[in-house]
Amino acid sequence: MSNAIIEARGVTAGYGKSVIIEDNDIVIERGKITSIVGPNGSGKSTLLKTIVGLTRLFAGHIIYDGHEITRMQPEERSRIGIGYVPQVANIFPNLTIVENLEIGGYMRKSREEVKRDIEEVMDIFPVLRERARQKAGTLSGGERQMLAMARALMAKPNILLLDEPAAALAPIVVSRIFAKIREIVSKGITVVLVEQHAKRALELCDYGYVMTSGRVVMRGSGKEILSDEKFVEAFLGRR
Amino acid sequence: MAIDLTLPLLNSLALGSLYTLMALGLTITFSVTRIPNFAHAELVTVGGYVTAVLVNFMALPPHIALLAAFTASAILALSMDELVFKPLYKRGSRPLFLLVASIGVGLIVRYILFSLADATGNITIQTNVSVNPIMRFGRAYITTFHAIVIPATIAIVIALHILFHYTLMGKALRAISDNEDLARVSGIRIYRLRRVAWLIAGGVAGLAGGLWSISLIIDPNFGWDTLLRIFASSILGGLTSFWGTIIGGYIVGFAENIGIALLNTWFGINTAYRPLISFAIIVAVFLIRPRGFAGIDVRNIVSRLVVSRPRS
Amino acid sequence: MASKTVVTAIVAVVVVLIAVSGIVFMMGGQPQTVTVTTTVFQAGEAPTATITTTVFTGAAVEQKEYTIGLAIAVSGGYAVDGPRRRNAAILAIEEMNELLERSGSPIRFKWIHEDTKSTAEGAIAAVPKLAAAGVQIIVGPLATSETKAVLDFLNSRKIVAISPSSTGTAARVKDDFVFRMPPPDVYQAPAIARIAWEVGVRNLVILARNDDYGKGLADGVEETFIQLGGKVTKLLYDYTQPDLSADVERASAAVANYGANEQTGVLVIGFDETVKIYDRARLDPVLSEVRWFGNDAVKRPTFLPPESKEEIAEFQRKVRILGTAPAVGPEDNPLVKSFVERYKERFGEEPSLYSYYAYDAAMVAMLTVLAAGEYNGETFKELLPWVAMHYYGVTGWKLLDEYGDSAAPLYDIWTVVKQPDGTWAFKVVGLYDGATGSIKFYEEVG
Repeated sequence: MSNAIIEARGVTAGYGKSVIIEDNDIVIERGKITSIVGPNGSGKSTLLKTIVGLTRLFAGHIIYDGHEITRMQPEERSRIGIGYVPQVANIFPNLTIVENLEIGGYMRKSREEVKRDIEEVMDIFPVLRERARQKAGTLSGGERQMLAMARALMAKPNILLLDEPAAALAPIVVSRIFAKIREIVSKGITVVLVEQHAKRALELCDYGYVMTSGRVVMRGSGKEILSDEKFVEAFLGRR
Repeated sequence: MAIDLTLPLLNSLALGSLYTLMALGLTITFSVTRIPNFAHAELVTVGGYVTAVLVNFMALPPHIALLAAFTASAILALSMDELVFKPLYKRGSRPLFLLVASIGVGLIVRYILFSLADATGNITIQTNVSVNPIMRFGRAYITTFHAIVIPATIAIVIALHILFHYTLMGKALRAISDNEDLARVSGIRIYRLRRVAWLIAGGVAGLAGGLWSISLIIDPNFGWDTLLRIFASSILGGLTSFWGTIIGGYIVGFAENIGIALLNTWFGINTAYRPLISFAIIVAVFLIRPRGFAGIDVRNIVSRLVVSRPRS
Repeated sequence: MASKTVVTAIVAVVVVLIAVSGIVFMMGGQPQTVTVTTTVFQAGEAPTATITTTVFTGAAVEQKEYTIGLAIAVSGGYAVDGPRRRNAAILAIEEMNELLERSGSPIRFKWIHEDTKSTAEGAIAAVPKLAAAGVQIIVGPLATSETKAVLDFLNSRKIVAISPSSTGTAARVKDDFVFRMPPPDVYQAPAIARIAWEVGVRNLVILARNDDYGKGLADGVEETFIQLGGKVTKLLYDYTQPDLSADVERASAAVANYGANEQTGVLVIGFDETVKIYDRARLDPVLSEVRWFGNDAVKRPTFLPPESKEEIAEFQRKVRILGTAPAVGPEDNPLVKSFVERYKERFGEEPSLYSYYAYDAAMVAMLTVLAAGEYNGETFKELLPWVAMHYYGVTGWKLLDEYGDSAAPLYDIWTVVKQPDGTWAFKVVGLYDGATGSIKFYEEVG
């Protein structure tokens, strides 16, 4: 696949001495939405963190845009365009909303542009403008998720890794978040979506991976996976 | 007997200011690096000695000597981190190991100081700046020392507030303190930026030591002997809160001086038991209000110290 | 006064000579007469007395050598003062040998030194080495902690030790093999209390370090002062704290409570940290209006310029401080002057306070050996109090109490003065005699 923005080859990773994911190969295509689904504890989030550089890598290689980044520190990976929104702890609770966004744009040269972009974000999310000087920790779950994504987008990433952005949110908020994801992709940003809610994620994505017990067990376009009987039986249940 | 609290009040203000300055550095490094730095005590002591030696033997003006004390302790703090803490942290050491390492670093610095002080015959020393009464206040005098320390503390608090809230670097430091992983994926080079934290923490501690050496006869143990108060101040503020630490510093200062005055007057408790007040504060915070004044769960932070941390 | 001290000096010399002759007589040598001339000087004057004595010595008798063990720390905390004390003991031995040689006696003293390193462990290591060398009488150790550490060993091996500087209560034991030349701490408490009372203080605020020494001395002062009819407020401070302002503040409140006048006084019982207390107190309007008192540990160069700030000395003068310190005898003791001269001539420096006691300790040790006529610790233990009782040395009378400690303590009363050349000094302004409880001021102390 020549149009890959990220390739992970034979990735085995975990924390401390424990291995969580073992020998995984995935390819993320440029400009597309890729979903990684699987049950709780299947290693989806760990895979995402491994791409960002927040886990301990025991084996394998990670290639970004044709360059090996296997040994690169997380802060350097983000500097070359990898954006990441964790599932929890995805904002700076003791910083104000504006400060969260400023930190999002931390590595950009022009502070003027950052200011302009913050204004823009505020236009899109009026809630954030109202509470611009409040601590981010005071926001509700949906607002936090908005802020978390806005913070990541402030860095103008080439690829954005989202870890369960819709978990534990009200349905109306979920649809807003997913609309926002489509909008992000339309701007040419590659998106990787980790989701426990498999159906929703696979419907949205161009390509999908299914993980169980730390391994990728199935891959294909969203439609292919959704039409696979074994998958439906194992993950979605008979309806 | 009527209690005249003017003297303990003035003592409390001066000591509270010093405790605040010393505790701020501890809070800053703990926030950014999660190391409960016991060697912070030595940064205070070194600042005191640098000031005293420069003023007494090189005849430098006090403000230049205090600047030198700031610089010396800042550099010492940075070297502690670069040589010991950062390599250990990168190797994935538990916070508990870092705590023990900081005690070790402190011991090394203290005994180097001891041998230098002993070799030059200056085990005890005091910065030769005359402290004189300015005006009488009740049973006490307001002295030139009060006139130096209290405004200096206010100036530093304001300067640090500006740094942390109005500069991108300061905000990035707060971001690291809030959420280290998220700071990293935001592109903040944490291992470079933490140098700033060490420089500030060391510098302010050195300055506090320098100021104190004007009013106090110091020896190589004096920082260590004060560490209990420094920790008490910081813990009162929740260990990671800037304003909490400032309030904590003054509470410890007031509790020790006014508290012992009242206990002595009402219950005849001897002033020798003054250090118990700091201990009592620490224990009370742990038992009654583990979140300190800043909504941060100190007990939780401390329990996390002994749990292993993922390598990064 | 002068004539009295001259007489006592003569008595001392005579005692020495009688002892020497007594030994020689017991040796049973063929009697032969030798004339020994001893001259007693008072500084700056012509000789005040010349004694010519005839003694008997044995001719051509084999030389007999007795060993004095010196268990004196010359490293650690006593690295500076230890050698000075050892020097004083060596001077005593050299002088005695000179006298014995001139008198034709076959007896000579030699010394062996072991360093006790200023620690209890060091003393426990050093003293058995002396015992292994056959030593039956020792000068040392210096500190109470060292002395206490070797007490059992000395008692079980029946070896006599004479400490030149231990004063602590911890080594104050009845019927043991350890004797101590300086007055023990228990005598200092009444001294301070009586001095304060004598100068008109009726209310005493005591600020003492919170340890055995501070509490012990504070309790002693309190007891005597209340017996005299005074009132006492006792405060203890934690000497490990860098800042003692809260403790000083309490003292200030206590003084204000009594009223800051001539009837109120402050006594600090501390070591070097007392300078921190002075430094805080000098900025206290109440504390600088009353008279202050101090113990022997604060009569040190640390408390005066150039080692301390000018303000510290100025404060001590302002509060007309009066302190106690073990005296080397009445100021006009003629022995002192000649001792200082010989010491300076031999070692090129002034003897320190406890060098005087080390000199007397060595003298008492040798006289005991001479009086015993045999080299046996048990005999020494029995004879030593009697010898000491008849001895008058550079530190005055050496009468011992039932604990084997100096029972006739003399304390100098000192204050701080600015000299005409602008330098500060401790000045002895009086003498307290513990035997009678009497106080004599040499000058008006205001």
